Amino acid sequence: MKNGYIKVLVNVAILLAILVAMDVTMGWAGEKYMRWLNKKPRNGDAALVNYSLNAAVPDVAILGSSTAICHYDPDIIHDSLWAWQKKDYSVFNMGISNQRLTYDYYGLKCLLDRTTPSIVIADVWATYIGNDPSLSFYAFMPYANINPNIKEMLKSHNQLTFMTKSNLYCFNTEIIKLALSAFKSSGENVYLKSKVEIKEVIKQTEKDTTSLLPLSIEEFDAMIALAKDRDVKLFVVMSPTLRSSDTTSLSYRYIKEKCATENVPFLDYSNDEKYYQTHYFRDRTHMNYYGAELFTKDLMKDIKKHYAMRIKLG
Amino acid sequence: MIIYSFKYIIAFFVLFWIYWLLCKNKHTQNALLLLASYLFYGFWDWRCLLLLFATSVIAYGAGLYFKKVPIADKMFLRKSTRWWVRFAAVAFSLGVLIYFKYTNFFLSSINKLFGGGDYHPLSIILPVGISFYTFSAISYVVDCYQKKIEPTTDIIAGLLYTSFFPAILSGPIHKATEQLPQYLVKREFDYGLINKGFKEYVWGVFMKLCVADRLGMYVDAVYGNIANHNGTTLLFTSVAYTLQIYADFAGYSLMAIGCGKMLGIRLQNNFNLPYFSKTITEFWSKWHMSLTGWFKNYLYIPLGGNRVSKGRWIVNIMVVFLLSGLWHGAAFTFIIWGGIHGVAQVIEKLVYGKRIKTIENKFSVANVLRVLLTFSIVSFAWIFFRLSSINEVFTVISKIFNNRGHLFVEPTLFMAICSLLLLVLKDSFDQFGAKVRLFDSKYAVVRYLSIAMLIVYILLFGVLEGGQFIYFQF
Repeated sequence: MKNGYIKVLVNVAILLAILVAMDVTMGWAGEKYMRWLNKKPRNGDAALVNYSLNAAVPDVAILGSSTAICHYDPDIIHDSLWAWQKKDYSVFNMGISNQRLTYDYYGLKCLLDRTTPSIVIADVWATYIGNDPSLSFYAFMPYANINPNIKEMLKSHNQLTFMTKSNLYCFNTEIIKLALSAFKSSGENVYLKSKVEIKEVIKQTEKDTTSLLPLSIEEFDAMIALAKDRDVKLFVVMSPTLRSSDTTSLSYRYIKEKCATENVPFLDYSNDEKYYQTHYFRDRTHMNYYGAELFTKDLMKDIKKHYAMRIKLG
Repeated sequence: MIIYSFKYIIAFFVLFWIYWLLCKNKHTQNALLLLASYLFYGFWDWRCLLLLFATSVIAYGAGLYFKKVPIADKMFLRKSTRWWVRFAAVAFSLGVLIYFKYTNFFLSSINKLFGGGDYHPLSIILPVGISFYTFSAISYVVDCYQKKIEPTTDIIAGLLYTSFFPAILSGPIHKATEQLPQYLVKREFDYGLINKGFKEYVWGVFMKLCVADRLGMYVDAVYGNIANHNGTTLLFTSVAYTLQIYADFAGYSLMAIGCGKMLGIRLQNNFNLPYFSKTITEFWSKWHMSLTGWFKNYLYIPLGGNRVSKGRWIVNIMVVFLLSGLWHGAAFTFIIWGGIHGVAQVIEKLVYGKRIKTIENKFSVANVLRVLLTFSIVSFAWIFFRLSSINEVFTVISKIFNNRGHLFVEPTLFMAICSLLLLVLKDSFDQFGAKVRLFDSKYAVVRYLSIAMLIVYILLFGVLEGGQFIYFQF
């Protein structure tokens, strides 16, 4: 029987040794692979997350979720700035599907570790500070042991467990998306290319009863403080949707008041009747190509107006 | 605490060593396992522990009575007290099951029948694993009454029989004659059995996390939004669900069986490649075998089985399958699911007659067609099982036949299909007796690497968060 115990222990030890070796190798290979992947931006959510967190150094950055991806056309922003300033600003849309305030804050932190952009546009919505971010951390797990900002993010949201020390565990699910990124050439924003039109307009005014999350308030405040500290011109923008935003909600009021107090431009297009047209949207939340074109041009006009009033672009 | 969670694995590892190193006799072994079982169950819902305890004590108490009074003595209402004790013990278990699981179903059905208004369900919690441990308790009471086993006087062993933690949430349902004797002797450390149990556990985790839960993400996405999907997608989804439920339930059973083996307890095998069945009858001899066995021993045979007139025999089969449907869930869709299987069995037994038992298990065109037909019937029936209303079922069936289009594809489907291919490959090797044995290879390197690769695969491609077993709700 004693032999049996020893045999079991030896088996467990050998298996653990193999797993640890694979885990370490995976971590090493993963980091190398992601560095390689960052040499040029590629399509696909995983590649975009990787590039945004670890490599992007734009002059103008757009932060946000799928609405940021769909509503802001970097080419229009680039051309508009060129026409105005005669300077070649690089513009990068860092929007990632299903992300919320937490990503915007830590995405900005990662960005400021590498560069100081001139303009950052944060795309927000009425429940921005009331949304529970806990469902959207999967995409960031591969960076838990690589990127200190992401490690801090996961820690502050209680996502760092004993298991996240494992590279294998951290790459769960995302590995396939990251692997597929290698085969996707750098390309245009597929969402922006969408010309699908929504068939009917159902304008809804949804009463928002979401309460504010203390951690989200902390992150929103920190994001504004961080931008001011590094002298980055931050624009907080609510882009159009087919749902009217509840301007009486706690979250909306907090965003508006905080921006006013901190002297951060808050541009709200969410209730602008101009955009309530079926041919501007591909669904009730996301604009299509025509909508994005119109909205981005309008936004740039307002940004220029804002600069004309305040400061000159540095 | 889910059976594949990291917490469970750590806790099991600690329990394993305490069990084998410190427990020197059957009493300490049983006491430790009982404590672990109650702790494990208490993690789910400590309030329901009392119910589990009461069910176990009543079954044990009935057994003690049968031991004390081995033959029918006093009569009451023309029945012996032994009969009444059995009746009371079985009625208690069934009563508990019916009250907690079916009260709202029966009341809402009665309300509908008499054209009542909105029915407000009573707030009754559904204790996890209730269908499994009440059936195990009934098996013990009936087997003791029928003198198939000697009732135990060892209360710890008696309680452990109903509560053994790996099997309490989703089975296999214990058969007293096979399970109880194992708790009455000291378990010896058996390296071979432990090794086998570990491999079964890992394969069970793979089936659950990499196949069932990945397919589940796709199935939930489609069935959660039936109106927006075409018939092609719905047809594919019904097949995906057929595979999901197998991987889910067989995966859990394998994990439970594996954990049992690592503690020296052999639980009943629950699945034996059911989708390779050539008839529905064969399917039920390979699917959820512990439940099939229970219904056969405690319902079908007492009703007369097949040793009755043809009409009565058909009624017996239908009763068994309709009740089996109801056992799975308190809804008409489950009853219809059972009905489809009952009707299919009756038809094939009428068509095949006695030849049904002599269909050879060899590769032939006829057998391939039989397997495909059986698989199609089973998949069709699962639509009723999965969806929550008859209206949804009819929408799905109507779209399958009338609304073709492009298949809805999601990234998770790619991972599910890769895992599914691995599962099908292994099951095919098992079915056709191929000699590819990676986990049991004679080369140590192959053995270690194949297990390690499987664990790595699970860590990379399994759905590690938020999974739930389909059969927990039963």
